[in-house]
Amino acid sequence: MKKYRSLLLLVLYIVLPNLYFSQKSDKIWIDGLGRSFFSSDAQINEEDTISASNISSGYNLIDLNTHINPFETIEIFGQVRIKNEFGSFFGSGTQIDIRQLRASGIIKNKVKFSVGDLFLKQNKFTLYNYDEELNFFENNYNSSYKEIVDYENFYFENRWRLQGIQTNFSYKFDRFIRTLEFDLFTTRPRGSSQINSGLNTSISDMLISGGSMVSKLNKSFTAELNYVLLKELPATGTVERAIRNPVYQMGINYNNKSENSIINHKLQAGFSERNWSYKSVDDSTSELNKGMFAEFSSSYFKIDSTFSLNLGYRYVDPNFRSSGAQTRRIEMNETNVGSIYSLYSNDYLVRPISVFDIVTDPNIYNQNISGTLMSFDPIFSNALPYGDATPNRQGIFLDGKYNSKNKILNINFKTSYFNEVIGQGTTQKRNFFTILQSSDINLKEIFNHTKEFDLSFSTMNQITSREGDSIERVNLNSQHFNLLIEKEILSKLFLQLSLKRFESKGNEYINKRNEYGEIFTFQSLNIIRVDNLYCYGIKYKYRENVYINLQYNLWNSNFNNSNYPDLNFQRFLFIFSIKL
Amino acid sequence: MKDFNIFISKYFITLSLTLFTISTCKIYGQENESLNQIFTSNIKNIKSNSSSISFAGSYRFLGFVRNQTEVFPNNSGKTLVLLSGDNFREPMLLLKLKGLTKDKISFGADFMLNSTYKGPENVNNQLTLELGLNLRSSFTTSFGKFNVSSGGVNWYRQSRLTVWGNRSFNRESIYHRRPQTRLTSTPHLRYENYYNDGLIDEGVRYGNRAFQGIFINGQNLPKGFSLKGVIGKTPFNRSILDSLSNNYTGCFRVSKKFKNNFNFSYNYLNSTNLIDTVNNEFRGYSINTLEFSKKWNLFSINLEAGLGNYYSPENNFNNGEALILNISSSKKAKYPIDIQAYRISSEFVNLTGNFLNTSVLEIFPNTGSNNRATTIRPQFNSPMVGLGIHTNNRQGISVNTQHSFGKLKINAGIGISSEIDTSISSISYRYNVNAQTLSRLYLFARDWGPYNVLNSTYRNIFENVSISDTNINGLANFKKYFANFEFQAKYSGNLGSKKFYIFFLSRFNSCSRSLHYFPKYNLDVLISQISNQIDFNLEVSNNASLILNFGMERIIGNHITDLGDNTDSSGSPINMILNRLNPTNSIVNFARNQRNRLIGMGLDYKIGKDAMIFFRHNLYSYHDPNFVLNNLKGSETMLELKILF
Repeated sequence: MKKYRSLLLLVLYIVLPNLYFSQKSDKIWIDGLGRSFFSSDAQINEEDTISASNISSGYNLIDLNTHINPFETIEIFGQVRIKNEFGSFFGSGTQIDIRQLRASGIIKNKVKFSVGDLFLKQNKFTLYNYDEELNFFENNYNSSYKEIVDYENFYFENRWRLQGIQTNFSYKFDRFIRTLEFDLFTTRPRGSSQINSGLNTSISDMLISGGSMVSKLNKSFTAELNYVLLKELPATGTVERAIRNPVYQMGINYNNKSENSIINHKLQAGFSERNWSYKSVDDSTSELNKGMFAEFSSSYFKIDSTFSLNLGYRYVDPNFRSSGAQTRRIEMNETNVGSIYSLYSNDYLVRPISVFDIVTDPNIYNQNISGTLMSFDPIFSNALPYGDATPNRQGIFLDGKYNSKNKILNINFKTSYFNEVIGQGTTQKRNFFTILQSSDINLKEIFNHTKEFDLSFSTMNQITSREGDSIERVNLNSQHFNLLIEKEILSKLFLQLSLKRFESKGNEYINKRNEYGEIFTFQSLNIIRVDNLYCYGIKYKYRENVYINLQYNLWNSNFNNSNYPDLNFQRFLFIFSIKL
Repeated sequence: MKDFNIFISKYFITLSLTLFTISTCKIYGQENESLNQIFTSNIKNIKSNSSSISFAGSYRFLGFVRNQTEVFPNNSGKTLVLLSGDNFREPMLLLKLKGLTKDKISFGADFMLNSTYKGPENVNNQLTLELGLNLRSSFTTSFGKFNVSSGGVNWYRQSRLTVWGNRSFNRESIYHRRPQTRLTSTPHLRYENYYNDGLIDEGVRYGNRAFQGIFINGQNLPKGFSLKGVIGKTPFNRSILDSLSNNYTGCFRVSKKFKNNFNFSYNYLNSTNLIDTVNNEFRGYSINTLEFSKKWNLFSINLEAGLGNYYSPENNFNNGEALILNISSSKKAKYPIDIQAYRISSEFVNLTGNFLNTSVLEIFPNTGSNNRATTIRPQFNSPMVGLGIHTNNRQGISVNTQHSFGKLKINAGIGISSEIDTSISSISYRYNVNAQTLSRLYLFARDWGPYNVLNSTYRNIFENVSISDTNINGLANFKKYFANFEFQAKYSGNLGSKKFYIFFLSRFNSCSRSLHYFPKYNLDVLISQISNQIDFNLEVSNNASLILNFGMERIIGNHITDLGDNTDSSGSPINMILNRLNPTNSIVNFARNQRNRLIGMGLDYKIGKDAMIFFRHNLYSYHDPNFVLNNLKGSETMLELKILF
C-alpha cells in the first residue's frame, strides 16, 4: 500500500503541474468516471426480529484516468480512485487507490506492446470471461446496476483483467497467404503472498501466458492457433504442489460474402492438460486430466442486420480443463455472500445468493482466475455453467435475431440441447434443454409518440432431466422472465418499470469438488424457489452511461422450505453516474 | 526455481528471435493502418473526449511553538511544543480539483496533503480528502431550472430555525486568523474591510452547515416559486453503530416571491438517528416553520415561526413553538437599528439551526475516539451566549445600533433573555480571550482540565459551572436570566503617511436568578463575564502590516456556583482596581475568579501575488486564585505561510 501511495504521490506531483499545459499540448489528457451511490435497504420479514430493520450505505467516487502521451506512439495510463463513504465527514472514510496502471505503445510502428493492467481475451475455449448467469443479450433491464457490477469488476467485452505484458505484431504477404498475425502475453493473475505469518508460509505466484497465431489465408479462409498456459511457480512460495494447465486450440474459419448476406462456417478443436507437480518429489505429477473439445458452427447474416442465424454442434470432453475460459464470475458457495443482510432470520442463517444479489451486488463477483472448476448453482445455470467451455457436454445450439426494418420489433433468441458425455455418479446422463428469447418493442413508433416509449421482455426456460431410478432421476425446471417498460415523460427524463421473476422447481445434485477439482460427493437438492425483483423509478439520461437514477426496489426469495424462511426486502436507491 | 528459469528462458528466446526477425527482415512490409485490424488479445486504445479539469488550492505552512511556563498539574513535564500545524486537521497542501464534462456536469474533490516534518522515522505523508467529493449538474425544463448535486461535504443553509450557521460580521478580534481566512490583495486591506464593513470572510463553511447527501435546488418555477432541499447526513447523524446506520437529515424549503418585496417560505426538517437496530428505536425531531419577509424603504421585517417535536426512548416532546423576529431599519438611516426577539421552547430541538440545543443531551452522537465527539457537541448547560446567538428553552430580545462620528465608528447592542422553564443546574460560557490557545492544549476533549470543566471544540473552548441551588429533580431551583451588552469602537487615522486602525471591543454578559436589563458585575448574579480587547493595526508598507492585540477577561461567580479550593479564608477580590485603591473594603469571592489575558503582536507580510506570511507571538495567562490549579502561562509563536494558486 505504501508503494502505491508513493506512486500516487509521484504521479500527482508530476502530472498536476502540467495539467494546464496538457489541455493545450494534448500530451496529458484525463477522462474517467464519477459516481454517487446511496442505498437504503429494509427487511420486511416478520419472522426476523434480530436483523436490523433498515441499513443504509453509499459512497461518492471519482476515477481519474490520466493518459500521458510523451510522444504519439506511447501512452502511460493511470487510474486513481478517490472514494468517500457516505456518512464519513472531514476526511474519515476516504480511500485513495491506484486502480490501474499501464504503459502501452507501438515500437517502430510494428510491434504493439502493453505492460501493466491488461484486459485480455483470446478464444472461447482458452481465455474468455463468460457472462454471469441470468444475463443474456446484453439486456437493459437493470442497466444501472449492471454497469456498476461490470465496472467495479473490470468486466469489459468478456475480457479478464490481468497484470503483465502483452505484445502483438503481424506480417503481410503478397503471395500464398495474406497475413500472419502474432499475439503473445504473460501475466500474473496472482502474486505470492503470505498464508500464515507464524509459520511463514506463502502461496506461489501464478502465471498465465499465451500466444496466438492468426492467418488470413485468402479472402475467405482464416486459420487460428491459440495457446494458453496457467502455471504456478512453486519456488515462489512454500506450498508443496503447483498446478499446470496448458490449453491448445486451432480453428479454421470460412467467410463467404455475397451482395446481401454473409455465410460463415467455423470449425475448431483443441485439447487441454492439467496436473499438479510436487516440490519434494522431482518430476512427479498427479491428478492428470487430459481432454479435448470440438465445435462446428455455420452462420448466416443479412448484411442489413435484419436477420441472422447460427447453428452448430459442440463437444467438450469431461476432462477438458481450461482455467482461463472456465473461471466463473460468481462462486456459488456458502462463503460468498451478499453485501446486505448476509445473515438473516432469528437463527442467523447465511442468506443464499439471490437474483437480487446477482443483479445488484458487485462484491459477490470474482476477478481471479481459478485453476479448478468453481462451484455453481444449478438452479441459475445448469446447462452451461462454464459457458461454451463447460466440460462434459455435447449437443447442438441455434441462435438468431430479427430486427424489423421499420424499427418496431427486435427479437433475439437462443436455444440449445446438450447432454452429458458421461454420467456423474451414474451411467445415466443428464439432458439440458434451454430456450431463451428477448424482444424489444418500440411503442413510440407504433403509437406515433414524439418521445421514447419502449417495452422489452425476455424469457428463459432451462430444463434438466436425467432418467434412472429414484436416486438417479433428475428433473429441474428453471424459468426466468424479465419485463421493462420505459417511457420518456419529459425530455431525457424516463419513467421506468421493470420486473424480474425467476422460478426453479425440481430436484438436482450439487457437485462437491475437492481441492483438485474432482467430484467427491453430491448434495441432493429439492427445490421450489421463486425470486422476484420489482423496480420502478425515474432516470434522467444525459447520454449513455451518464444519468441520475432514482429507484425503488422490492425483492423477495421464496424457498418453500421450513428451514429457510422466505426473504422480503425493499431498497431505495439513488445513483448519479457521470463519464468524465 | 529451475522451472521458472526454464519458463522465462523460453519466453526470452522466443521474444528475442521475434524482435530480431521483425527488425532485420525486409521481405515484407507493415502498414500502419493494418495494426488496427490484426488480431490482438488486448483492448484497442481509443482516445475519448477529455473533460476539462483544473486545479486550484493553497499551500499553508504553520510553524507553531508553544512554551508553557505555568502548566496544569497533570502535565507530563513537556512544556515546549514545536509543531508543523497546530494539531487541528487543516490541509497544508490543498488541491481543489474542478472538472466539467461535456454534459456540463461538474465534479470536484479537494485533496489534502500534510506533513508533520518530524524526520524520516515519523513519515506521515497521507493523501486524503479535506471534505469529500461532489457531483453537480443543472438542467432546465419547462418547469424551471434545477440543480442537482450529490456527495459532500456540501455547505448548506435554509432558514434560521432549520439549517443555518453563525457568521462573524462584527464584534470579533481581528488579530486571530483562521486557516480558511482568505487572503486579501494587500495585508492592510483585511483591516480596512473590517473597519468599513465589519465583515470577515472566513470561508463558505461559516454560516452554513456541513451536509452529505443529495441536494436539489429549483429556481424560476411557475408562479414565482422556488425550492431547495437535501436528504443526507450531517455530522450529528454520525452513529456508534457503523456506517450502515440509518441516520438521516432531510429538509426542504419552498419559497414564493410576491410583489413589493414580500417573500413567503415554508421550511421543513426531519432528522433521525437509529439507536437500536433490533427494536428499531430512533431519536429524532421534525420541524415545520413559516417564514415571511417584507422590505419597505425605511425598514424591513423578517419573521420565522414554527413548531417542532422531539422523540427518543428517553424523552418524548410534543410540539413546541419557536419564533425569531427581526426588525431592521434601513442601513441608510442615520442611526440604524436592529431589533431581534425570539422565543424557542425546550421541545423545539434542532442541531443544525442557528440556536443551541439545551434541552436534550442524548441527541448528541457519542462517536469518535473515547466517544468524545466534541467536534460536534457545542455548549449544552444553559449557555451564556453573546448577542445574536440563541438557545432553545429561552426567550429574549436584543437591540443593536451603530453610528459614525467622523472617523470613529461605534456599534453597540444590548439584550436580555430568560429561560422558559428551569433547566439543568449548570451554566456554560465560552472564553472571549485565549479561547484558541486553550483549545489547542487538548483538542476536542470533553470535561478536561484540573477540575474537569473545560470542553474543547473547534478553535474554541467552553467551561461548565455547577449550581448548588437545586430542586428535587436535580434541576436549578430557579429560571436563569441572561443579560448582554456589547460595544465596539473602530477608529481610523494616519501616522504620517501610514494608515492605522484601532478596534476596541467590549463584551459584558451575566447570568442571574432574576431579570436585569443590563449585565451586572457583582456577586448578586451567578456568573459575570466581562472582556475587553483592543486591536491596533498599522500599515508599515504596501506589503507589510503590523498588528498588536491586548485582551483581558474576567469571570466571577457567586456562592451558588462552584467554590474553589483556595485555602486562604480572605477570598479573592473581584475587582482588582478597587482592591488596589481600597484593599480593606474590597469585595471578595470564593467561587470563580478567572483572569484571562492575552498580549499579542504580529506582522502580515505579502511576499508575492497571492502569497503572504503571517507572524504572531502571543503571551497568554489564565489564572484563577480561587481554583489554584487553574494557572496557565506561556507564549505561542506562529509563522504562517499561505500561498494560493
